[in-house]
Amino acid sequence: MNWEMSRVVRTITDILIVPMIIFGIYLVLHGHLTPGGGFQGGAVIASSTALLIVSYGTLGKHKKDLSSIEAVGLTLFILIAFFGIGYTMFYNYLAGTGGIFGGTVPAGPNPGYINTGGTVTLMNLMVGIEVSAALSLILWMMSRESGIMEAKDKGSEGMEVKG
Amino acid sequence: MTWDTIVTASPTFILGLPLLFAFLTTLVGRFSKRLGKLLFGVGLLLTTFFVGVMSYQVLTDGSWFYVFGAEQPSPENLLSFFRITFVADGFAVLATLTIAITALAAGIYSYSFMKGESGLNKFYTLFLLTLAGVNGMVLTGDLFNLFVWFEVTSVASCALVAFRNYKGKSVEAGLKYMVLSTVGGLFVLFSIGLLYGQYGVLNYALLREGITGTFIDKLALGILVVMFAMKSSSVPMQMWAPDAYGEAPGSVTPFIAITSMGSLFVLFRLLFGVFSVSISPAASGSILIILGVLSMIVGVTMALVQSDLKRLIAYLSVSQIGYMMMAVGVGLATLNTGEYESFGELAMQGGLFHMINDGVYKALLFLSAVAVVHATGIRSLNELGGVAHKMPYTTFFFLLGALSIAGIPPLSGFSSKLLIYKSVYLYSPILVIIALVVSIITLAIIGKAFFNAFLGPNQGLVKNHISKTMLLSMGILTAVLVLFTLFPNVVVTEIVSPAIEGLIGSFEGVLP
Repeated sequence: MNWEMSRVVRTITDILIVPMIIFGIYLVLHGHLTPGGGFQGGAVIASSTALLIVSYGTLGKHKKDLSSIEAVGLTLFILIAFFGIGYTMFYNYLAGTGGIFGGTVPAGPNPGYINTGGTVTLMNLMVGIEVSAALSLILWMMSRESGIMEAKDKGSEGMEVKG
Repeated sequence: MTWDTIVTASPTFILGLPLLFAFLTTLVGRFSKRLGKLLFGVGLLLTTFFVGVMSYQVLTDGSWFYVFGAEQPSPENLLSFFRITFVADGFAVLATLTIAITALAAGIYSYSFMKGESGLNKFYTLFLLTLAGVNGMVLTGDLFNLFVWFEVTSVASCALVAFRNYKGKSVEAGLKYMVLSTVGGLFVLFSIGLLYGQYGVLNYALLREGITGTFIDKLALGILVVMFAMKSSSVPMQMWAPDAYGEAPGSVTPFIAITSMGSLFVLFRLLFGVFSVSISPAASGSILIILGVLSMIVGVTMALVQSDLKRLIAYLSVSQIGYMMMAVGVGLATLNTGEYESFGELAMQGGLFHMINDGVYKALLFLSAVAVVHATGIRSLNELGGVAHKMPYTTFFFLLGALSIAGIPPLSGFSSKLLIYKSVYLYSPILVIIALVVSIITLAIIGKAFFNAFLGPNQGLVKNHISKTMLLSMGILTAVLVLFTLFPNVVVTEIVSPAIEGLIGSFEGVLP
């Protein structure tokens, strides 16, 4: 059975996906300032994939892309950690240098400056990339194994529920 | 960045390089399979190289702590111990050396053995991830970090066991291993929670000073002992081991076995390094001895009835784990008493020497048995026979491993077993009698396996060719085994004795 839902659902999905991804990116980028972080933000982004799979029943043929994106995130994470090896591994060599993510946090209450955190922010970003790709991949595989996407991928007609 | 910085950072390279190359292999492997394969080899060799660098530094200059994320690697004040620390000491050297030798051999063996399987880049990634996980487990000085590496090892090695997912049995073995490891991991987390809730610290050095020996501490230690004994395939939690060893792709079988040895290293590290001050070492030592004796007897009796070559060696490896637990248990039980001087230390030497020894000859046995299975396509000892006519080298390698596991005099298995017998006899003669009987049964079993599979008239069973890389990998193990055989005294004084010092004293008085 092809799992494509009615036009109402698909349109709502199209609309909702944008704020979902933006919220995920917000969580990732504000990981060093507010509750959240790379993993949570990545999971939120991946939940938009779940929505896509449920409403459209497909992601296209992006499995290998997701796998590569995941590997890129992980590789960069380890490399960022290794770049600190002159001091120690995982040393935050960007904090307080004034460059990218190198701002100093002023004392006292503040609205949260995003240009701080050093490598923590970068690593959050990498974890966000990794988790969003990996969870999407897991969801894709699970929906495939459970048969939700089977009919469409094999090209059979199935019982289409079009609105 | 100078060479000194790199040497000091070598523990992180041992951990970080396999991780880096694992992810690079996936990434690059998408574009070029050959390059992915090459990166796997480079990662493995570089890791082994840094194990060598760390070992040389520790054995010549003494041990050190490596603090992650700090401005300088050595701990400056008490706050440094709230960061993740790694311990580069004699014990870590013994453990990483054992792991590195087996990983190198298994990796080289995989090159031609896995030819023809699909998704090989994933295989290389999983292999390197497991390597990183085990190395992290034995190097870390932080309880929560230990849990993280425990999980990394579990997930990656379960996937390795179930890698040939077109075989139903592999998936079943992998699932069994996965369920047990996950339950084990959760219980480890629970006991870490018990300790953290009471003391608010996770570092071994801080915990060692902090633990007061309350009932909850004993509960936490009990859970940790059971879970790590489960991961190290000790009886009565051995049920996953023969399945996992038997059904994993042949080339990684010794590597899966070395992950369980890694868990044993961690168990010893926790018992000696963290808990031996506050919780009576005599009690925990007795528990180790009981688990060890059980493993020896049950492992060897189960091996007696096996007709499957790989499962037979798997059960023998369970029984060998028993020797180490018993010997080190005797060392732990006599710790801080006068008896430690007279025979406890000797028992520890025997036990730890047996670990590195066993890592090598078990890998050799597994790999040569797998070569037979690979060449004939038959695993049952009832159907095998006369393989020696066509596979002289493999026969020689298997014979060396077999004689070593049975403890026949010139070989290194004898040296470590003799140390164990001599010292444990003074603790309790009955243990030695059991150990001797187990050793004799081991000889009978492995002799039966050798006669059935290798000797006899040529039945023309050998169909596939054994490639040169497979022989090379077994050759490396044989070379190490011969070195251990020729110079057991050097190994004991140069590698095992610093390991005992590290095991007992690494966390003593390190707090500023």
